[in-house]
Amino acid sequence: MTQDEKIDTLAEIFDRDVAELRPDVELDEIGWDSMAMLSVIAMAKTRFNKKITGAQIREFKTVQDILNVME
Amino acid sequence: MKIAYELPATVLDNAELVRVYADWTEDKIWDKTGISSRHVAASDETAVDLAERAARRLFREQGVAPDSLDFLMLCTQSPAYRLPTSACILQDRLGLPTTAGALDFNLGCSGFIYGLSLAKGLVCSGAAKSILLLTAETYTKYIASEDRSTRTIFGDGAAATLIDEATAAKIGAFSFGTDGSGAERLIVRDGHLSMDGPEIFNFTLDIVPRTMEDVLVKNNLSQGDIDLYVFHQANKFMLDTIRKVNGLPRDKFYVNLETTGNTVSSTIPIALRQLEADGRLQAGMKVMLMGFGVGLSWGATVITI
Repeated sequence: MTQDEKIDTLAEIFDRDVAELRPDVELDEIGWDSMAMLSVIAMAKTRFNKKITGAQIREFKTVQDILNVME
Repeated sequence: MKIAYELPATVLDNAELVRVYADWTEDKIWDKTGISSRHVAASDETAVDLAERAARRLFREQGVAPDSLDFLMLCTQSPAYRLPTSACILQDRLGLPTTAGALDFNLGCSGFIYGLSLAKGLVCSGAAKSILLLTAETYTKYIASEDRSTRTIFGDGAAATLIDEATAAKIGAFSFGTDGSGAERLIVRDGHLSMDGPEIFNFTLDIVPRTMEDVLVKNNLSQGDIDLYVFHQANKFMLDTIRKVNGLPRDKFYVNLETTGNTVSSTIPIALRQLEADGRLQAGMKVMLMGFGVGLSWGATVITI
């Protein structure tokens, strides 16, 4: 998955424009609520077969933190 | 399986939630949870009241006579009193014989599966012939007004299921599971419900595949033999993810909590009743049932329609 495709995926999850999803953007500014966290956990599991624990996801601060698990 | 259910009269819809939690939209709540409205018990309405109404509906609609019952079990985590046992109160209110046995058991989202296993055990051992299995919850009474994630998901309700000799014969083998190290993930402390959504979600994704495999082996079945999967209706997003991760066909995987929300131990019997009303259950079908959640506790079985 290219960086653009990853950002597209996140744009869907957060229901935001891709322009708002630069890697350095703080998650709190784009609606980092319980639904968004579950969406990211599900995306990592279904598309990358990766498990993100509750403790790990609560450490996420920026868009880059999510991009890092999309490998 | 003879089943009836009841929901409280008061409805909390997404429009009302959006009025309180301004940064959410009705569409977003619907898309993620698959819930458009949920029912909320009145301040003077208890899980015992809901269980009583569900049982009376079962008697009325399915022609069950209360004096034909010789055992009553109630699955609840919102009992009317610390003591006495709510099932004893219901024996009297419902007019079951005083020769009937009655007990409460405390489980949440896995409760219906455990209830089926206990009822089957009583029937097969000859200890009882006709069992009224009641599931009833009023979780909304535990939810703090500012806790939007649980307030969005949970709804109150009760279901009544009759397990007699004919029904017990159609309940297959069980797979159980317990992991009390996750007790804190979903807990009522100081009167308030607290849920670690991400961890509950991960727990479910972990245990569903191996529980599916285990219950298939125990019933000498393969995945292709299952006509329908009726899992605990936690929320649509979780169910969709479970379905995708396990590669289950959409048309065999039931999702419907639009007007009820997550009613905890009653979601599976409510789903079975809805499926029957929609004409989707045919004699001979194999239906896998699975419950998972608070405890942490899980269980599964396969029933034959």
